Amino acid sequence: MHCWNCKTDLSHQSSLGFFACPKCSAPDFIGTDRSPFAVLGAPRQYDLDLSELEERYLALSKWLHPDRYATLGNTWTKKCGELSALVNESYESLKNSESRLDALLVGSSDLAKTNSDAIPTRYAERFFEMQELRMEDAAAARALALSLQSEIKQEDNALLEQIDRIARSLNWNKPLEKQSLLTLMETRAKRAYLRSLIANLQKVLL
Amino acid sequence: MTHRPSSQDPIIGIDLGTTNSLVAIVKNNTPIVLPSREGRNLIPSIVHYGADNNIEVGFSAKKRRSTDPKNTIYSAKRLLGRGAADMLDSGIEFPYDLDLSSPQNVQIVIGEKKITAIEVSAEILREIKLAAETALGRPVEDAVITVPAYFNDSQRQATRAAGRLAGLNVLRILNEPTAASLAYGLHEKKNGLVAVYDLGGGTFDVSILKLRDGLFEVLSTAGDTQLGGDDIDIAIARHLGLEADSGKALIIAENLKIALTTQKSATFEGYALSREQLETIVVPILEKTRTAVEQSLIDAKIDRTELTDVVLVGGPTRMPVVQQFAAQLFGRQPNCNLNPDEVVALGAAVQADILAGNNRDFLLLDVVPLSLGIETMGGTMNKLIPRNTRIPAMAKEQFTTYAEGQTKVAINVYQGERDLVTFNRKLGQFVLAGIPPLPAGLARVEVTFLVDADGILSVSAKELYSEVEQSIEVRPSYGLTDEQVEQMLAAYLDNKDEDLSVAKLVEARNDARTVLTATEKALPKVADLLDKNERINIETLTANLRGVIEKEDLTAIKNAHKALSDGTRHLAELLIQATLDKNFKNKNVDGFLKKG
Repeated sequence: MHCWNCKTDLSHQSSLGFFACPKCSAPDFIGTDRSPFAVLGAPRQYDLDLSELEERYLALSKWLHPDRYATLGNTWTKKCGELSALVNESYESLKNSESRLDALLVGSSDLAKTNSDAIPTRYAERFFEMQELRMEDAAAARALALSLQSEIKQEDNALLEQIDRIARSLNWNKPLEKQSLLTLMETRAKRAYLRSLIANLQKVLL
Repeated sequence: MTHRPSSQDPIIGIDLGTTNSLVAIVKNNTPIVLPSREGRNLIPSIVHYGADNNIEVGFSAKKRRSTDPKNTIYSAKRLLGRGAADMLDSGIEFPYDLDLSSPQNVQIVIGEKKITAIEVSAEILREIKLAAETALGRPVEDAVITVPAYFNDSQRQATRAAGRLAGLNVLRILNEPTAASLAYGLHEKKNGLVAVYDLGGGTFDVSILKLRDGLFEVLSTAGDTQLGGDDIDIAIARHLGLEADSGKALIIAENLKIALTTQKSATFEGYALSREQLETIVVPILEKTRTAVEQSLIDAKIDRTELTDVVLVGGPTRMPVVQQFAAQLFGRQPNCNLNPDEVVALGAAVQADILAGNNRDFLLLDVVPLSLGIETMGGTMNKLIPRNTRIPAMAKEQFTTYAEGQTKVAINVYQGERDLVTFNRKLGQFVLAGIPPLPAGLARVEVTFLVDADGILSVSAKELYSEVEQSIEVRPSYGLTDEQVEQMLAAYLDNKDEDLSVAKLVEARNDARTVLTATEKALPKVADLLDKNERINIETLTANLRGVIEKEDLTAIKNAHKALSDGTRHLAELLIQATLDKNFKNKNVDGFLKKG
């Protein structure tokens, strides 16, 4: 591997991640692991210190942002633009817990085929009841929609806590145990379903 | 094209406004607005196309609005990067004629000719370039140009093309509210959460920013690219029972509006309006900003009570009714410490200074205002880069072939928030050609979408199966292609050599003035040492140079300058000798006195 700017041989570069060329200071990223954890130098786990993550993100942005290299011409701004984009993308994916879990699950999701039976149908039945009731008694339908929504929200929160608990307990640096992965995927699928119901109820309530 | 600005080259900041344009530069760490060639701080964004290709820009063009409305183009920014469908949807009317026959490009009809808004904007930018060159006394090439934050990709590309056409090297397309925040940050030196409410002549933007120790992070932006002071003028004209698309009516409306900023009631050319009447006209227009403001707060994930300041930007925010509306919308009194007309240009100059490497303390982290995506099955929009994603931004997506031996994949790229692509803006179609013929689904093409710091998209693709690093750079095709811009620029340079030489003229004049001043100061000091002929010769050469210095003849100035330099060589030698002698004599005198 050679420096993109001054062509210096970088094969002795030992540390992975972002580095500056020892000869010309041109920044670059070394390593095949371009996961957001590797890019931001964060531990591969569900619980992250968010203020530390932000500090790291801002430090990298200050270093790599193309505006810092505008006087050096288009090759520099293009290269640093790409490095900045990588940092931005990685921070975006780690800063909230849901996309962070997505990042942790990359490559593992094929292992667990979601069991569609796990999705609760009882809410759907009541949702259609409520829809029918709207024709006859709008006020009653509205009251039903409200209570249904708060009930679903409660269950959704419980599922979120469950996901948090499992995701925290797992060792993400080892191949995942199939059973806990399956539970995690099923719980997420349930949540996705519940949230689409909440959104649909919201449309009715507006 | 690789360009390397250095800290010696001035980089100007340009606010290319719907109504007025300004140019600014940072001097001694302070941004200042440069005067126009008409001696004002701003240049009305109006171009008059007269007979014999005589083009006027600024106040002189503005005077033509009532006498020659068909050839006096104002608010061209509202047409930049827009297609015929956009214009039909918007329902805006102009006193000049538009040709909507080409779906990609709205054209303006000037007599026999048809021109685009890019060309009109280029005329304004040329005038700005000349103004800056005149004020600075040196050629200017590099510039930062601001655009409404809510401008889409084609509007940004069109702005960049206009800059290129004006002979500028556009180093950055900068969002107007973000620019304003830079000027605010430099002025107020405060950290916190700031909302910028930017109501311009033809566009509305709202941005929420987090300011912290020189770091300007845009959290969200929202807006409306067809809402601004122009709409207020049209509404006033209609209220007065005038034809809203006549140049005269808008002049009356504008004058009444401005007068009511300071007065309770106003009369102009027989038309009267009170501030109360104005408020009832304006409030429904301002109501349209409410949704965008609420959206920006939701997207920034903050409550309005968390804001530490609200900054008003744009001429219309001078109106008391706009200030009251903003105060009620944000639940706090807005900050009116900055000049709302100048703050965007000043901020553009600050960004220019950052790009020049002079300001290492500030850094701007901006976002993409509208989601970017591709068309998938059933005409739905697959958002690859959602709105308010930090830029530079990147997204990768894999595509495959659906037919045996297929060698091409067509991808349609859209920008907008709607779920169905037909409601969003089509940026272009990319055809990925040269895929090796393989069974269906085997070939995989990885497409990379990159939004640069200007908020402009570029797409590149790579075929993965054949492992050939075949990377192709594709650009959306709408408005003007890069080739068209270069062709137009070349044609312009052929026809208008003199315009370019204005910069050189300014430079030559400044050099000549330096020599004149030096000669005039030196002449009396060594007058006794020069013989009479030599003295007369220098005086003649000085008079010659003085005679041509204000003329538009570059060669004459340079020749007269050279003649004077040659003619004063002996004078210069004498001057040096005289200085040496003087020092020497003084020493002798000192020595003599001491001895005595």
